[in-house]
Amino acid sequence: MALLKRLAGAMLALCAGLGAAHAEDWTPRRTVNVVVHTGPGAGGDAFARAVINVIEKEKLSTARFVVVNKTGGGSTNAINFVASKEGDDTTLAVYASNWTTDYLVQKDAMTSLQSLTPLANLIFEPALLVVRADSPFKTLKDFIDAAKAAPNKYKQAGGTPLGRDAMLRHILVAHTGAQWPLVSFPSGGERLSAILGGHVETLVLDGSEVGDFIESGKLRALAQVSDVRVPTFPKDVPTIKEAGYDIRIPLQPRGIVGPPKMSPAAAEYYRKLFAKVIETPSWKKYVEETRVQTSYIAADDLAAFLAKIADGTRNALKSANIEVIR
Amino acid sequence: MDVISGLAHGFGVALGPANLMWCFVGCFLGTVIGIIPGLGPAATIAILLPVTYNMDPTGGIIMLCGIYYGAKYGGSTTSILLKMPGEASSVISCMDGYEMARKGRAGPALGIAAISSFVAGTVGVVLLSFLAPPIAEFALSFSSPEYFALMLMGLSLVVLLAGDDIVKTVLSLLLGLWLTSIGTDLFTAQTRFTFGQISLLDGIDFMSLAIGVFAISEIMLSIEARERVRLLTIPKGFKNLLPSLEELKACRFAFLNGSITGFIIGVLPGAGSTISSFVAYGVEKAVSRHPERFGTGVPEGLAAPEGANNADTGGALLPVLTLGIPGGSSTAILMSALVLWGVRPGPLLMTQQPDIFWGLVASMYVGNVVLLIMNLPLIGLFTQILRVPLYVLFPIIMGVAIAGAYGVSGNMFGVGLLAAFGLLGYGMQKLGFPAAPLILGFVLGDSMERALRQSLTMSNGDPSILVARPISAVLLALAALILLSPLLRRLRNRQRGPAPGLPTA
Amino acid sequence: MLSQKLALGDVLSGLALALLSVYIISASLSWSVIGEMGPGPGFFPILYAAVMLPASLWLLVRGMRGPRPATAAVEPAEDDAEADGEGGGTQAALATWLALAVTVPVMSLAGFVAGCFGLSFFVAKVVFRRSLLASTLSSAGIALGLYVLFQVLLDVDLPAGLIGGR
Repeated sequence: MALLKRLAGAMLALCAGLGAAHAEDWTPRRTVNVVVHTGPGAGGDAFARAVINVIEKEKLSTARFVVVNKTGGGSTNAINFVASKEGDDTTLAVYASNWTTDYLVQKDAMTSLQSLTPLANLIFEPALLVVRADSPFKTLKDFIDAAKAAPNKYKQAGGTPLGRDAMLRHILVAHTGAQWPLVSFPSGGERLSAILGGHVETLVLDGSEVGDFIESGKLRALAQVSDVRVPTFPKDVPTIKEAGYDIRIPLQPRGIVGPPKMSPAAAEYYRKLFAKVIETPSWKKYVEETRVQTSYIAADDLAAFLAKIADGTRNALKSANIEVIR
Repeated sequence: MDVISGLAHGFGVALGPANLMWCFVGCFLGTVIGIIPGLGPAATIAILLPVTYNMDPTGGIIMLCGIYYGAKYGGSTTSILLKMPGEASSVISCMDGYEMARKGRAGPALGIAAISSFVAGTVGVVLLSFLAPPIAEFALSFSSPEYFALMLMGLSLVVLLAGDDIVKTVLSLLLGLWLTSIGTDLFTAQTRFTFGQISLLDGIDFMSLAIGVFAISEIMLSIEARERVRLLTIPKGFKNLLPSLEELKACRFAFLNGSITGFIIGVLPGAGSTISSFVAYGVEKAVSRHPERFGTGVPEGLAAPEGANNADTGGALLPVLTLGIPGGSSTAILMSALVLWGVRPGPLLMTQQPDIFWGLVASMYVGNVVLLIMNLPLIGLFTQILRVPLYVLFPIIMGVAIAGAYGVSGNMFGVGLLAAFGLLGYGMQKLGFPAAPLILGFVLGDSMERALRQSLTMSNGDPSILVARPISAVLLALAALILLSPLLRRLRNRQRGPAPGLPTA
Repeated sequence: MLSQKLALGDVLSGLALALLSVYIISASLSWSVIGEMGPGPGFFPILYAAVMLPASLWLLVRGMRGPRPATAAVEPAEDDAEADGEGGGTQAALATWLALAVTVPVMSLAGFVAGCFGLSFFVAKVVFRRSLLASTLSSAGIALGLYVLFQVLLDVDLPAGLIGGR
């Protein structure tokens, strides 16, 4: 595809975009591989491409960045691959919340996210807990009270039991004593058609999936799955805490790490690069359009943050009766 | 804006020189990646996405969509010539397509695939233009019990794919069901049958299985049969490059069947084009007057699935454009592309951004014509592949298969699986097990298990949910009818007497 | 075909599939079959294995009784081989497969080009008995051609060897 891509690029008369060389001590001399755990187009891949697009558009680096898809076992193949690149300065990886979870439940995952070189956390993906617009539930309390009165009558569409939406269900169930099952669907599209068709009652919808379902009056949001109100979400929707449930909100962080033992000079280069990325107009446009939240956590604090996420996840998994092996 | 004026407006947009060019570029790229296994439309669209950021959104989506439906055109080429499917949706085209090529009708087979793709692709777009809102509602009424019934109906088609040995057919199907349950269970994250292999955690890739069972085992069988000089008869003369009138006539119903089946199943977010191609093939065989000749190179056995996987694109785009619901990975990427351009697919798209909606729909009419014009002259070129001596052709097929398996899985384990499935396919052939039921079980098993478990979770374990709903009841009745069809046919033939049961065509 | 008294292929495949279904059932029983939130991971495998077991046993018993007269008719490859009158066909086919299987470790070690060259050379020289020159040239052409097509033109990653080389 490289040739065709170049051809299409030339047709667009794009500038080569080499940009002015910065007087950096260390710059990547080769193509930088950005490892993601999903196939093309899915969450992690789309995010990595969006970040690379910002870097290219804003001419933040002279190097070429390409996405490398290492699928298999959730994040397990990807993280093992990154770990095998010890000391490599031109390999990066985009992590997501399952990079923490898989290490806790899969014995084949030999590497923890914390053992990689932390570079930057870039976003949290907030979500909305939604029902169909014609649903009798107007508030989160309506739904939970109903689910308490009639256990297992109402259903939530979800994906894997390790996902953020499943965790949230579990924490809410444990906190309130209500009971409703999670019905698993493999793709976001199937989850959406299940709720739009009225086959399940509720769904946790990631910010990037919200689209215009709320504005067009197909779905109603009951609560924001976030610690603080998200500016791109409908104004009148409370956070879960504001709706009266003081629980730990499971986070969906995305950020960048490098292989273990990356050279300090290279790590410093990437840290500066990603600090610049989030300040650019292209990045702000991306954040607005996909309804994510910029949550920059610098490398120095990232290791502690990731460890905290791992602890929270471990507790949630244990209380959900999912076997934790580490 | 009503449909006619919307379309008129759309053609104005799509026939502009820039958009026409993007349509052409997309169709061309789609055809190329369709031919090459292991390089699918989803990955290609994702790779090209950044290039389109600076384009006008209409031109961009026209090009990316061209890749999506162009790949369906290209996918059948290697299925027909080499029994090596280029895309998952072209696997069933190996059955009769390849047999036609073996009989020296490679050119007509390619021609029928192109014409059927064109007809059904166009019908799909017509249905998309005129029936979008009501059909979107219909798609939403499908819940897990309906999907379960649909998959069960699909599985019942196995009696039609069967050879004469029903036990072996059923066992082959069940083996397919087992192979598809290898991996991590979606509902509980429990790993199943992975034998401690990390590479099996995400399950077996369909392309490794299909290429192994079809292409690799075919190479082994030809070598065994000592077809050392020439595998396929090379067609001579222009007449042998295009389908004959009789062949096209035989495909009349297949064009219609492929169009309708492909579109309806395409609309359902939980199904997909591979399933629609299998169902279209099964339906075609079920209603055929000479089902026993399927699998020996009958043109309608190729036209039906090829039509279905192209009508599927119109169907699959419908929920994306009208509801904002993507059904498969390609449509999911197309949708994320739209979002990145600031276009929100969904109920408001048609009215708020008519340029995009109608421009795209009109471009698909144009794209189908472009693809037909592009593909017909290529037939002569493609059939030349058959002139390549076998000692060169076989290694090329194996090399491409390896590259494809590696490209899809990203590791050598996928290549190992390819080899293992090659041996499995060869062994099955030698032992008299038909391969098609295995593939069918693999394709449907996963969706079927999910739909069954979703249904029972929704009903808190009450199995009556599976039969109590009208659509699922109808589908289950159809499944029963298909299961009984060989019996019914035998009865009917007996009444008529043996002779008129086999009309010549 | 193999024996007049019993269809050995049917017996062996019936036996293998029966063992497989026993394995599937025993593995499935170790998982949750019906959980508190609906059917568990063992639910569906048990269903199909419960059909697989009797079907494979049926095949096994039927095979012991001898080959079915009807099945021998449709197997084109077999017919051709018999018509050819040569016994080496099966060996050549299996040798080709073995070469493909060996290519997997070769590629992991030495990369795509080397592995593809080796495989192509084997097929041309040993299976098709071409001359050394023709085999070498065609194999080199195939290996490099595919490399250029996938890696260079299409940007699709090919297997890279541990000791370098693609």
